[in-house]
Amino acid sequence: MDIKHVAKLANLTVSEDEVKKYGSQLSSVLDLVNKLKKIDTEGVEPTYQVTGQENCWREDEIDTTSMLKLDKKVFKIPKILNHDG
Amino acid sequence: MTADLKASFEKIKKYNGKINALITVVEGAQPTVDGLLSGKTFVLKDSYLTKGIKTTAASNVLRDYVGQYNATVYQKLLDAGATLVGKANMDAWGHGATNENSDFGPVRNPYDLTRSAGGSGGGPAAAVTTGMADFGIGEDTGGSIRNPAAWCNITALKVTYGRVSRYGCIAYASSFDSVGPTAITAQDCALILKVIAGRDKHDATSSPEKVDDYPKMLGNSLRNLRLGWPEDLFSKEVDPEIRMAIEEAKGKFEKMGMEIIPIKMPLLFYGISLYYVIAPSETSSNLSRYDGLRFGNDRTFFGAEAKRRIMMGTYALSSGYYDAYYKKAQQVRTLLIEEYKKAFDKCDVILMPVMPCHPNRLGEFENDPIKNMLIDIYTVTQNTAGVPSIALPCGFSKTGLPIGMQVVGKMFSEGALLNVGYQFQQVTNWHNRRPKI
Repeated sequence: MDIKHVAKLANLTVSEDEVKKYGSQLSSVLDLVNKLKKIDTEGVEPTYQVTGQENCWREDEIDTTSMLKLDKKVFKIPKILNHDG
Repeated sequence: MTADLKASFEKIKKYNGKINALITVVEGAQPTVDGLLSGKTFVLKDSYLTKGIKTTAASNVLRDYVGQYNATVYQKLLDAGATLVGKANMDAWGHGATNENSDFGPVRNPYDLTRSAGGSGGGPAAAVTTGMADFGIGEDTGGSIRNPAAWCNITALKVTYGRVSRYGCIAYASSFDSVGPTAITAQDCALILKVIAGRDKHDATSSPEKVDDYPKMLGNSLRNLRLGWPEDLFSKEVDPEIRMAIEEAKGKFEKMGMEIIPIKMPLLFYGISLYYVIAPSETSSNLSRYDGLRFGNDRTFFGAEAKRRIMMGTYALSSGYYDAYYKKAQQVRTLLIEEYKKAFDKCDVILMPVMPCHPNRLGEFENDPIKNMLIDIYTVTQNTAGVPSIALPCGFSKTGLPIGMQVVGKMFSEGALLNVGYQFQQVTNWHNRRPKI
């Protein structure tokens, strides 16, 4: 595994020491997961989730509690600037 | 349940400095309504959002983060009259089996302070076993509820995927994460599950399946229930004391009228390999949102284990490797689900170890992260398949360390599993042995 390249893809900064350390540690992880290659999965469908559900839509209702308050044509928001002082 | 509010805070004051179970203590907490859980105190693993109270996921990235809304499970417990007394320590982001990956320091095992309380939810388990709270809410992605339960001598339930809403729980691996109760007894877990289970419009993966009246399902006879015994799993890798304790439990179940069915589940040995492709892949995606703009600190604040898992996942999902790792693992997942289905054609529940070994000495795995991963061997496959499992105290080592076992069931068989736990706890007393610290 090219640690510097993967770190860049993952938006992580790694030091030279980390590159060395993670390099050997992640190659042991790869050895561990490579055991999966021994299993014949020819023609087996992958499973991405186990909910037994698909296309879970919710009702398209307006939740007024999540809306800013409307005063005629303008939104009313809590005061954020202090004009008193 | 025994402890009241005052007693909880006394225990927290007395023990938290020694065991480091809680990251945040909710000083002055008071119940606001009356309900099914009135008078009960609880802790949440620090992965659940609590409005106005810090939620850190035990990571420096979120060290001072305060959530804007309540997780569904937290709100339901408040609405039932329970009182939150603390946010509990964990491996940062749920990454680990010994709680040593916490940026807030490890949780010490109340039965031996030089050892780990287990992980990732070492905090909730240690808090419950020392009486800091009547119960705890954990989050189990590959054993994070059951593993510390076994090492801290409490009862804990990993629910069927989707049984409890994940809304407001900081995600580790979204297709594995499950929310569940931990307490001293299976009876208490049944009551808590009744409160927290059910469909939530805020979590599309929560299940519409009917919620059973779990406390009412306790007391049914275990006669003729078929107990699967996967002989192969009790290989050389299991500590002989653990094996012996679970064999004794098997004998108890047989006496209670259960039929023992030897089964074979060889694919379970690939569970770890499968888990360490899919979980890092999902976590690399979930943790990509922590960029220092919307939540807490920037990505330089991630600890070593989070960095390793993010990189492992990024690699497995990257162009050219996706089919070899990610897709391959999801295909093996299909086979593993079939393996569980085949087993459940022959039996109703399956008896397994939770941990292959006793709690490790703190620091023991420091230079060997792989060892830390391998001890998950018995707890990762239930998350992969989505099935529920209850962890139960079943003995002690000669040196006084707790031993746990797990009973795994079919999808949505929580009621049956809680009853197995309840019945076992009617004829045994292991769960009542508290640590002397």
